[in-house]
Amino acid sequence: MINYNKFTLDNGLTVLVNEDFGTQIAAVDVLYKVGARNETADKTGFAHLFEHLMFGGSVNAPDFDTELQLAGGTNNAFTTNDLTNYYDVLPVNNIETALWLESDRMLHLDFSERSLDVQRNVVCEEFKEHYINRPYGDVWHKLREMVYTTHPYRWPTIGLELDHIREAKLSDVESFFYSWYRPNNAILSISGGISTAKALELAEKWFGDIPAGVQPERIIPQEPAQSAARFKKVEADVPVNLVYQVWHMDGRNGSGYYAQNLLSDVLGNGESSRLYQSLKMEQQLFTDISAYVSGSMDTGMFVVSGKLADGVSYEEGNAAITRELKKLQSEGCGDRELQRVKNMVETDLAGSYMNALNKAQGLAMAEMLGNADLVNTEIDMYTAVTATDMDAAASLLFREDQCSTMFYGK
Amino acid sequence: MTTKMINRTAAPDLQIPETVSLGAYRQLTLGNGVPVYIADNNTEDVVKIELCFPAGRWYEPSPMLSRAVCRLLTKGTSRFSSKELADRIEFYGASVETANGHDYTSVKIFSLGKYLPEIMPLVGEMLQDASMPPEELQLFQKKQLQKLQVGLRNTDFVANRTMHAALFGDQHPYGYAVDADMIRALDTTSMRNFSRQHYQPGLATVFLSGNITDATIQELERSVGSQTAEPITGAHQRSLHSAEEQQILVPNAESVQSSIRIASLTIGKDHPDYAPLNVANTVLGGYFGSRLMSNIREDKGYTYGIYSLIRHHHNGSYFVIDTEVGNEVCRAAVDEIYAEMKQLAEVPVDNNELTVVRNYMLGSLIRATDGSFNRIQVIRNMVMSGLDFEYFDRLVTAVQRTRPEQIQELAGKYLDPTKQKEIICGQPI
Repeated sequence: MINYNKFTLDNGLTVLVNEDFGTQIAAVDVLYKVGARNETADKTGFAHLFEHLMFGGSVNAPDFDTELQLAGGTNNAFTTNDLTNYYDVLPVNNIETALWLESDRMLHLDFSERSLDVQRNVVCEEFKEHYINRPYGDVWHKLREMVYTTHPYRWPTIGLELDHIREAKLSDVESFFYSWYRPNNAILSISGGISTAKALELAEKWFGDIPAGVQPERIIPQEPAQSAARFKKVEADVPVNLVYQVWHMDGRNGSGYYAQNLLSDVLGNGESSRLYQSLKMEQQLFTDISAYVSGSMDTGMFVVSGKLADGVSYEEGNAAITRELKKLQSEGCGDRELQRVKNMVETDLAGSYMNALNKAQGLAMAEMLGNADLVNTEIDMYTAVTATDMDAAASLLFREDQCSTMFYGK
Repeated sequence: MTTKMINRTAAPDLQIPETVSLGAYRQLTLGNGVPVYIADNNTEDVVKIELCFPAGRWYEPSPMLSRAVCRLLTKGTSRFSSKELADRIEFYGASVETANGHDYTSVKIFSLGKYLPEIMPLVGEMLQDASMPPEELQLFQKKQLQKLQVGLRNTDFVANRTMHAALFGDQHPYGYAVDADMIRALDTTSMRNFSRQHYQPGLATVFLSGNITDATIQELERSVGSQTAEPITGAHQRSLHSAEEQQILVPNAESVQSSIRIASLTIGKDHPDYAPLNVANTVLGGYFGSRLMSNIREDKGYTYGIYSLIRHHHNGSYFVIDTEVGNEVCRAAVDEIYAEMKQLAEVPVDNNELTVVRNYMLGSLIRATDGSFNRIQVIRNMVMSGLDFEYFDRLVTAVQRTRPEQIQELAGKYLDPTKQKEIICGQPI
């Protein structure tokens, strides 16, 4: 149970505070509700490039990292398709340093050609290191562009191609900032050994004078329902061949999300899961197989992925996955199976919020979904799922004409 | 809306803690003498139990045995198949995972406290009666062969194994590079013998975190604390032979990046210079604001990341600088790395920089002890490295007291660019 209080400043900034006097540290999490899904198809990779630029210094704090390190802190950030998240962890006595730094870069980041130049290079090297220089590095590029025809989930956060990053201009960067990096599009979440009153006072002090912005009107094109099965074979000189089956599923706030997520656990989470037992252990068609969900805000991906054992053809492996899904549809999921995945989620959630940073981040993420209280109530959503819900989810999801299949390898 | 503008030009005042304490922990001993270390936190009913055993690479009679036994420990006992074990454990939402290291291995149990009575007897059974089923070994071998094939295409992976062999020698337990023959040569009889000897419950060192109650300890007494262990037999004397050559290039024509490792054998945590050397290493490449990161990533844009670190093992520690760079800037990056090492020995670190490093390191020590899951890891690392609890205080003192001239001296002694192995895997132009 995470106790917290929620406030909204006059400029629209949401502030969440979790008091925890059991720790000497504080975690400060700033979440901007912008990710790769807010990009346009000709300027992809921008939200993530921007994350790098946020460390290039602001008007009053030219060197973000040094100031924070001087205060005994550390920080990092990550970008997803839905959001960009920055966090600082430091001794609680120095919490103002983090608030000063975060508010200063929200107020006025110091844009410069030099900083843009360097970060363009760094991101290009990141692109090469993770997506080109590594076997299977482009799997998600290939998969996303098949699964999504319309929604910007078609590209991963790193972007569609290196050139989009190489060509980023300073003017693009500035307009991105003033569109999305405003207090009314952000959540500030604090957890640590500080009273709620003090945390709110400091949030008001440092963030209160940052002007609100005008929310951009860009409407994210939503993915239409799929009407026919899709298939792609990617030729790649890799040692192990992969099979993917992907279905569209509910977004994070959709009514079917929880049952669908549990369904992925029944199929592919853990050694007692169906795919693992049947296709890996008994039939030995795969050396690894799992099922998981992307957990996206908009239409998400329900993914089954497997590494084929030597000598097993794509068709053979793929047909075996399909058989397992059909079996689940026809016989339904048993009570013990359902209890197993619920127990797994319960353990997982109970262990998720064991330090200040996890609590601050958990609160911010839940608030992005619309309700910070989800950190405490999400377990109830899972508990409430019935066997009937599971059957409904299975029959809705696994329809032949809704599947995107990818074979990747030789 | 009128809001009072505040003065943003000056950084807020800082308070750097004079002392950093490890935080609360308890210690007790089970009936058979097994030591137990505990860091509690009772806000949620979850429990982490880590059982450490002297079963790492160092103790192997033949290559790969340690990893294979460790992975198969949870894959079957005389009574239960791997499926039955997984069913029983996962039904309660719990997990039992193993991890293998150079010196010791770990069995990690993660469970809601209320289900421990269902889980711990199974763990006890695995420790005493793991059956190492042949079909599980076959699966393991298949997977390891696949992993090896994939790894060999990855410059990062190849650079690491080349480095380990260059530092310790390819026959040394820390140095050998796994090959397909080693994987194929594994047999269940040697594996069973190794597990019987090295995973005796009485050999465990136990670390507990989360919601620890009397009932937790009673469960532990039953499953781990009831039998005394037979001593481990076999001598574990290994000779170390570093490679002759100083520069090693492993070409990889497909690669758009080159992996660079600059490495040398160095002192371990038990050496009095270790703590201050750690400060010198942090200045060089141990944190995001380090000289290597500032120069090679932030200034030149050659890389996504570059770090240096000291890896401690019981019988041989090493220092390494680790990065991936564009092929076309590989040589330039290596030159910059050496220049930074040289600079550290030749010019005293100025006080501002040293203050940043000190404060950063003190902050790291505070952060490392936040929450019982984190705190127990700090404790485990000390205990399993054979250190006493004063080590933490010594580290804090070293961070507070290390002087610029001492860093210079240590850099000259331990971070000399002329005494490093230089391993490059890729296609440097």
